[in-house]
Amino acid sequence: MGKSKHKNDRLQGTLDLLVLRTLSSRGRMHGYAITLHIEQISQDALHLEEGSLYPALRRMTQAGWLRDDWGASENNRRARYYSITAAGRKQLAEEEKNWTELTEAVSRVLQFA
Amino acid sequence: MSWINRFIAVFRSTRLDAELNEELQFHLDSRSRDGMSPAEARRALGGYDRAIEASRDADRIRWVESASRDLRYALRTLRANPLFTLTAVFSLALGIGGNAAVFTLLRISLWKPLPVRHPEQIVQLVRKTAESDSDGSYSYVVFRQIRDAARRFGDVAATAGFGLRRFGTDGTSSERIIGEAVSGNYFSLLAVDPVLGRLIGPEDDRATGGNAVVVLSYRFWSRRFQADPSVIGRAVWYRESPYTVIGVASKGFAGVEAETEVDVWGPISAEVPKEWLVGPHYNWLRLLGRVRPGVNLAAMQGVLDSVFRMHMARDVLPRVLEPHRSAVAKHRLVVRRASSGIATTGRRYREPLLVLFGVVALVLLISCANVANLILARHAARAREFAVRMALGAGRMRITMQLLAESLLLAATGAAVGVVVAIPACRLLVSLLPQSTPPVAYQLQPDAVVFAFTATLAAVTAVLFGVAPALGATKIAWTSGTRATWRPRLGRVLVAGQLSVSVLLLIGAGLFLGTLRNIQAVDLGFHPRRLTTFNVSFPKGTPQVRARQSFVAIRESLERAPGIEGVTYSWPGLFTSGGWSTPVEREDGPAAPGNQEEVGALSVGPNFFAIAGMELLQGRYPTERETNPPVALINEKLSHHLFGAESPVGHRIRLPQNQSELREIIGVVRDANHYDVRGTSWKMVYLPGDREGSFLVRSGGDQAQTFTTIRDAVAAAGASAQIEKLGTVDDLILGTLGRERLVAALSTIFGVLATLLAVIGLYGVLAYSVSRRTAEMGIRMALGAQPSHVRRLVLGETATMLAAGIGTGLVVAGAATRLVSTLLYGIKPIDASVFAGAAAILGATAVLAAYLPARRASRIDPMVALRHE
Repeated sequence: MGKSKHKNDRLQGTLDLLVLRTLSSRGRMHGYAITLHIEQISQDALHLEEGSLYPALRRMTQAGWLRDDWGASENNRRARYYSITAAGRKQLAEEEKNWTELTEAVSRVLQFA
Repeated sequence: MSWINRFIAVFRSTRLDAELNEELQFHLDSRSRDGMSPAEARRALGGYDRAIEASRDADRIRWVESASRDLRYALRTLRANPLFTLTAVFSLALGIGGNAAVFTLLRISLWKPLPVRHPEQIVQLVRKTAESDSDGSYSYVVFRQIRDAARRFGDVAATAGFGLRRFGTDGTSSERIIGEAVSGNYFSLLAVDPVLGRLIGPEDDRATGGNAVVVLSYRFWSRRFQADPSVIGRAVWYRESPYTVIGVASKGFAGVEAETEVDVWGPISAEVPKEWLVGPHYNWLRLLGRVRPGVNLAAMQGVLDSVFRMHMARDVLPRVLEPHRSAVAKHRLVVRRASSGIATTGRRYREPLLVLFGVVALVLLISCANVANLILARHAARAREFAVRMALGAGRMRITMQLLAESLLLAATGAAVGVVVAIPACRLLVSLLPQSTPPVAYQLQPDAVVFAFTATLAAVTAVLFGVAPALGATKIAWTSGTRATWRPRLGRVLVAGQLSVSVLLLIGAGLFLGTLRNIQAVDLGFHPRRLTTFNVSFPKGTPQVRARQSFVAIRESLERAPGIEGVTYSWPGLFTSGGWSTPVEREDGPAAPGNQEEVGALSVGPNFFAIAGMELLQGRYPTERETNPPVALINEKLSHHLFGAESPVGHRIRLPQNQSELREIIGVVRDANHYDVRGTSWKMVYLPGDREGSFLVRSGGDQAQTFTTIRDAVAAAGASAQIEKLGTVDDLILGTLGRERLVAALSTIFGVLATLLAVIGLYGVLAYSVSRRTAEMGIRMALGAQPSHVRRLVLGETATMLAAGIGTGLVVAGAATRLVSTLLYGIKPIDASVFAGAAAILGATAVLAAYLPARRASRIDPMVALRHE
């Protein structure tokens, strides 16, 4: 599955990282809840491009990082729920490591350049 | 595997789309519940459709999706044009089915590996004889020597071949099954395992005599004993003796010849008299070997052949008489790969089958051309559809792909129908093979290889008939916009091609029919019509006197029976595979060298010559039971050979190998051929005697009634006499012509079929051309053209195609028929009357097909025509 790892695509990688992190800590959620959660945590600093969230969810499901199922929402409507899989957790660890390395590198550059 | 999910997703797209819509709708609704206006919510989403589109792409593979959409569209288009679809599918099914049938037969009879471990290591040790195209067999003595010499290359096992054997479980042996006698290492060499019990091993097969044990085939065990495991250790009657069942061979293994399913195996040394195991002159075994990987077959052949020839020179040749000796001295041992087994029938019919394969391939080409023509015509009608779609932005590639999808769908349907008809067609082919004992019984089931072959064929045909029209279609649309016109150039070329292939096939049919006619017209020198022959056999141990009485009783009761004109017998029978040949010399010694030449000999019963319808040239027929003093009749050839122009009657001859008593020649009969229609007649000597052989009955009336009369007579004779090989001499002769009949029948069928297809193609192109040119014809008529002129216009178009097609066909046939010259008899590969006949038949049929559209063109009403567009 090496091909699905988007090593160079930072922007997409960031979205994947946020979604995986959210689902890893909060468990099973539907798309709208994920949107709200990310907005809330980042205190609106990260404004999520909502239109790209759903394709990303589909893509990560196909890649096996997420599992989807249908359930009832808080107001009793049918909604698609996502939860993270073991492969997703591994991917999350990888993404987090990449992210830390990147930010550390960037802050070193900012400090010493 | 995400791409598999995405691939599957393509085929669930409606549901997936609904789910995506529901998910996004839920998002929008939740937004507005939280106080956002619907418009704002949509804006935040960044475009609803884009989100759907992007999610959909994440869910499936785009090209698969468009391919599946193309296929669905193609299905709808084809269903909307049932006539077109049926014609095309029928054409293709015919072509693909014919190919699949011949391929299946070739595969099963020649190419399918034996169901044993590592079949590629199996070889056959063929005894090549100079005299005939069939292989010779080996004695048990030489088998042991060859086997010892082969140890460093692998192992060699022997099989005695198979035949109908008597079998039973309750002390009688009334059932007829197929049995095969095998050497002790046969099963271990082939690496066949038992399902039950054990298989025949070396301890069962000793030169001093074998154990009376049998192994059952899995199918026989299931069929005859309902797969009862307690059958092991049971006593059965096999070949009139008690045997013990020791095991059941693995499922699927039924011997080493694809055409025969063996029911029971026994050890060779148990099945035959002692002298067969020690005499170097008893040749009755075929040898199979398994070579170790890496063995050089040429080296192996060199060693084994020299062992074989040394044995021949030392133990066999000194006792063989000239001129037989020089022929036997030329026998060689040849090692041949035999991963598919011995394949006797397959090898015998290999050549005609390959010719047939070529024929069906040509028929398939014609089918393809036909379908391509149909498609071309349809594309012309759809030119506007293509032009509009391209104007709306459809890429040329997309339209081509979509048209190819139609072709693929047609080919796949044709192939599916073709596979279904292939197996009955294959059965038909096998039934055309000559009768043999035991009968040829192939397991005709299509396997994975056959399916793969058919699928490949379908794909190739789809490309063959699909690509050119598809490319052409978009070109029309591209260049001439919405005002497409139809230039049927490709169509005409295709029709000309079809016509030339038809000529080729018709010429082939003519040559093979001529061959069959020539062979059947051969004067045999006797009258086979209304002659019936049969043998009578008695259970082993029946006293000679008892058998003799029954034999006489059968003859006498038949002579009295109504509808029977005469009864006699001969040994050997007429047109049976075995013959009797013996040297013959004049009483006054070998005057000239070569006097001892082998001649055919026939021991004949009373009235043989009258009943067989043989003409007496000199002397007299023997009287009833004239055996003492010994007399003989000879035929013209032998008379000329021994006595030149002198009359032989009254001279005496001797058969040095048979008692050497002197026989007086009492008559000369016309040359007759009792063995093989194709060969020239032999020098013959006829010995009146009472040696029982095959009965020969001349009857007057109904053949079925004759059979019944004979059966009744044999049943009434007692001594549990059994009737064997009952049939007409005509059928026996036809049986020897199996190859010629097969080839003639099939080439005729396919020649006619090809012509039919080609003519349909021609008609289609002309009819379409006329309907497309209605306006043009109308204008011509309005401007004063006569109907006959218009007719000539259309017929002229036909003439060009015909001339080109037939011309090419004749030229190709001139070169190609040489390839089949070995299958011809009494006719040259380039036979003027056959070539002319084929061209004439095709020309006449084609003109007939062209006349209808021509007449329609000439009857066009100018007014209607001008309003046409």
